[in-house]
Amino acid sequence: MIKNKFVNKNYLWLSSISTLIALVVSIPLLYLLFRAVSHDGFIELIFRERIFWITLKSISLVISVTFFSIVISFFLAQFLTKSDVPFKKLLTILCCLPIVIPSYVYGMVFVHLLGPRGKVFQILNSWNLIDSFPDLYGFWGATITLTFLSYPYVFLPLRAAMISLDDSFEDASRSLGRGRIKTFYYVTLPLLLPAMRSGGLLVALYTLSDFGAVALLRYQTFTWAIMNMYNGAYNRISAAALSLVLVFFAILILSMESYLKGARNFFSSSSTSSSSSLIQLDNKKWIIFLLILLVPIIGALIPIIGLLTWLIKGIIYGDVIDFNFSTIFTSLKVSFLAAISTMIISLPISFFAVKYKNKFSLLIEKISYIGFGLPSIVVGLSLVYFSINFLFPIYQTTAVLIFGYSVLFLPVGVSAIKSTLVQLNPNLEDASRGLGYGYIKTFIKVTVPLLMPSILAGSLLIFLLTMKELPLTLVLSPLNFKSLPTSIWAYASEAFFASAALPALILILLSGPASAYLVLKKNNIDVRG
Amino acid sequence: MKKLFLIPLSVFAILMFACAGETEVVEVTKEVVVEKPTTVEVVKEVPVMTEKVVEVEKEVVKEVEVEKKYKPLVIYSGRKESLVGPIIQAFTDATRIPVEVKYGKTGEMAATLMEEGDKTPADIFYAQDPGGLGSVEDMFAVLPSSITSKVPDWADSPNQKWTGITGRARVVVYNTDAITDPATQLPDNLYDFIDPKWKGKIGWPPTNSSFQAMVTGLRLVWGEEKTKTWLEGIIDNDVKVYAKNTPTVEAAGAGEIEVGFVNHYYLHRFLKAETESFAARNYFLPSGGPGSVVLVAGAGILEASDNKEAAERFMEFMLSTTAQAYFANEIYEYPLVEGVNKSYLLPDLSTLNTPDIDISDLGDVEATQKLLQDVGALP
Amino acid sequence: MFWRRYPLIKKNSASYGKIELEDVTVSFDDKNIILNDFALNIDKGKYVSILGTSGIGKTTLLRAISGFKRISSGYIRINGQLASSGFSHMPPENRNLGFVFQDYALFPHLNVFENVGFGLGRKVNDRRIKIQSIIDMIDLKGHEKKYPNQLSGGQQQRVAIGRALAVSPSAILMDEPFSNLDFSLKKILSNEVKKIIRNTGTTTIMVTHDEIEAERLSDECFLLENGKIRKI
Repeated sequence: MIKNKFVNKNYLWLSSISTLIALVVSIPLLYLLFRAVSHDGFIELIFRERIFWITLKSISLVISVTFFSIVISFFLAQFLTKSDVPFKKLLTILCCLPIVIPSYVYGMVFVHLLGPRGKVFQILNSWNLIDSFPDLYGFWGATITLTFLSYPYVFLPLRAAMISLDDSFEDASRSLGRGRIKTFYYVTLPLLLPAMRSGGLLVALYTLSDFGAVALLRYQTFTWAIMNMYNGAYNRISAAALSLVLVFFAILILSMESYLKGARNFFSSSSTSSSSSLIQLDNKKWIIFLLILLVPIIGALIPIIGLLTWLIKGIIYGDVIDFNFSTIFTSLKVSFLAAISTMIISLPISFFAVKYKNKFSLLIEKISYIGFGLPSIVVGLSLVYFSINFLFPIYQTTAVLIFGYSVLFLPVGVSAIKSTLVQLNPNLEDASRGLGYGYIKTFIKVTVPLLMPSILAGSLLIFLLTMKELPLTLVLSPLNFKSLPTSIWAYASEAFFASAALPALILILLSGPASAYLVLKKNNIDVRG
Repeated sequence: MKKLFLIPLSVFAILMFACAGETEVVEVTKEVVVEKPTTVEVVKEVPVMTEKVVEVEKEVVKEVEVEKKYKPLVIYSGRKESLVGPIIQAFTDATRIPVEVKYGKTGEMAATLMEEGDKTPADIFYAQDPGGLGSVEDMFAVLPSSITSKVPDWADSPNQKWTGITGRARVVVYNTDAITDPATQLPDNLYDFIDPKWKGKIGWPPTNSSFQAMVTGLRLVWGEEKTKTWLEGIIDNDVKVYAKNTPTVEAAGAGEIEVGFVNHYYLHRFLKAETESFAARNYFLPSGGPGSVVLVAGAGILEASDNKEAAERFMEFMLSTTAQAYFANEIYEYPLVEGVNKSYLLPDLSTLNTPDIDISDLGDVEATQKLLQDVGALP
Repeated sequence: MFWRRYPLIKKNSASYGKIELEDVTVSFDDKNIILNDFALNIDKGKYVSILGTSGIGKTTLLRAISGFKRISSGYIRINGQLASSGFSHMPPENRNLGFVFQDYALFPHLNVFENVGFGLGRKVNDRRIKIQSIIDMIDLKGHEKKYPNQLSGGQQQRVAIGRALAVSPSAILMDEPFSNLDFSLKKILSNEVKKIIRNTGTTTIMVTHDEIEAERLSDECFLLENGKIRKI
């Protein structure tokens, strides 16, 4: 697999480009160090009992959200790829929808509808059906919210892995005397582990950094403490010191991921001959159908219904609903540019990590993930500091904003490309080089076309994430910048719900087709050759 | 091999593309506005104090100007566009000074300003609360007394670096189903909420800066010990912690909590959105004290600004009767300028019996943070 | 385990290694009948080939015997015990059959040693020695630590056979085992495989579309046509 690992021009090029990108991406980290150093009471601030408890709360949330995301994704992927459940395609699209819902919107609507005295309770209570409603605040509320928002990060790669997983592996195991459960544990799980790991990692980091939903659900995590430092105490130095602890946890999660069993990447040498024997569900068909449907109902339908009621109510009561159509264009433009530029910088990093597996490339890859585990406001402020001091001519231009998105969402691109790249049969590239194409030509003519489906999928994911990203947008945007998330925020945080609902619905509506593509794309290229 | 250059090159190209797209926009907004000398024509409608919308946009203030070029005025606003957007537009309409605004949370805008330092493009920082203004006080220029004299002494900083623009009272929002007669059912003093009968019925947003300013007020008036006792008492009453004011008010309306400690104007948004059926009302503590302290949202001019004249005109405009009437009637805040009436929905500022605190003292958040951390209200 | 749903297989019983199919019907969605009233008896130690054009249901037949596919009616007996009928179904892991897949289905996350030892479980006595002897038998000594993608096609094939034989199956089922190999290798390897299997005395059913190969290797040949089978 690895050829001429040393004294290789390509290696030098790839490593220096990747190092450069990693350096740029670690600006937030360097910034935090730089800020935290100037903090006098660093030790006193961090090593307090309350910080310990709040850390524990953060960690338990990360564990539970990651766990449940994997469980739900597994359930969905299993039945949506391997059973004869009805309306499979439609269900799959619906199951990807939650990824387009911004967490601050979800938290808001969730509390409004499902709070202990929320609308659902009020309606049921007015019919005398119930007189109390489960209190979904706190840990479980936060777990539910974040799980249903972030499981698609696991579901998408897991589904892809299951589709390409050859059934005969499981058959082989069972013919060798291992039952369903043991087969699952010894064969299926290890084979699906790479997909679950890359998705689970994103979920864990996302949970670590999320603020919107967690705060609204009244669960106090580490990020909540950081936001208090910014918004209550106006103390960005303490905020930086606390964020540094968050970086530590991000690193911990990243290194745990490396040590998980099954870390070997593999590609199977022969093309798959899936015997496509679907699990016959028979009379349980509709029960499974409803169970699956429940997931997008909780993850997407609830917020959409909540937003619609706000909008309709606003229209009925004659609210003036302000909406600026140019925000749609602005959002689409920056998201599009962010997707392209992020994917471009993801390419060298993922190539470096896969083609030259060594400690250095692993380090570079891990560094690229750190931004995702930080509250995006931290990334935003670090880039404010960096760009006003070193990139002044383009400060407060869209370029810096795109740059910010790229730093933040780089891991999404890297994990998308990596997942296919590890399966790419090097013989295909070698064949091309054997036919007289150089490294670059091979890259353009063979590698990129083979990777195209995953490049597209990654870009779409980044597109969706950029569409809904708020804190970074607020801090890094040019003057007079108005996009969909900023409009949602401008109205929602001041309780103008009807005016907030419209841009939120448009955001979901625009993101829908992109998520549908993620599912419907025909991955008919077998990169394993 | 050298073609691997393509990757960074195309990144660069994309950034440039994005950048180019932007400068175009900037150029448009930078278009120089030239005002030709006109006759003095000051058309001012006296704002009518009704519930109806005061259409400030239609109010035209034209003044004689010798041919003058205006650079766009750059405002960092910690107040949302939904609140101040219309009045900023009115400023542009009235003065022909183009305005470029960056909206964000007050804390994040303050942090941005601190990161930018001397290089900040901002001329004005418009913040939600005194804490936000106080945190960047070093970066502000001293305001001319013509501006600061318009507001009462308590509502600006003693060193004249920033001034309050509107007032916002701290209130107790209560659920009308649980509390039918607030005068008898609610204590007349904030302190009495530590009574165990309020166990499980109180909500607060401890990370909110207005809340923290109120606690600062408590410290100033009650002293550290009493404030600490109070905070501990409220925490012992199993206070529910909300993310910010809006969800606290919503929770009071839904009956999740019976009382919440918030700013006064959020309720009015809910009443507008949900009509009178929204089951919460404000209770202005009759005995006054720090529980009903009036905070301000205010602004200052950045020392680094090279557009101070326009900035001063903005400040003046914000303290004009036009703008003050807008704030009073549209977003139910207290006007600070003499001669402008508050919304008829609000009690009089003088009846609020606010404590004798200088607003700038409320910007001292550090000790308050410490106290809130000590009692466990904050991590 | 003090309770067993399926009786232990007695290696010395008379019907050990026997595979009997009686009136077996297999269909997809109750419509397309693949095997119709099908009967086949294979005696212990026999090497049997089943011929037929592709898509005729050869693989389905193997999958029915090994328990991956349920049958609609009829009876399948393995070692004299009822394995499948229209009413009951013994899961594949309890049938003690070895299966060699067309694409070998070697576990890509396990190396040669682990692949061969996969069916042996952790508690089997002398596990290491058993695995090593199989590896010696399939002539892959020194390749224990290699992963499937580091092996040649022929080596992969042998691992697949070794893995199936490691569990000492009562019969071994092979689905087009040599179709992925080139011509010269095919001949050498198929003879080798036959020798290995013969040495263990295991009943073998091989599905193939290659008549010459079938004739050369097997004791009996059957042709599958229109859901029926006949001896040739």
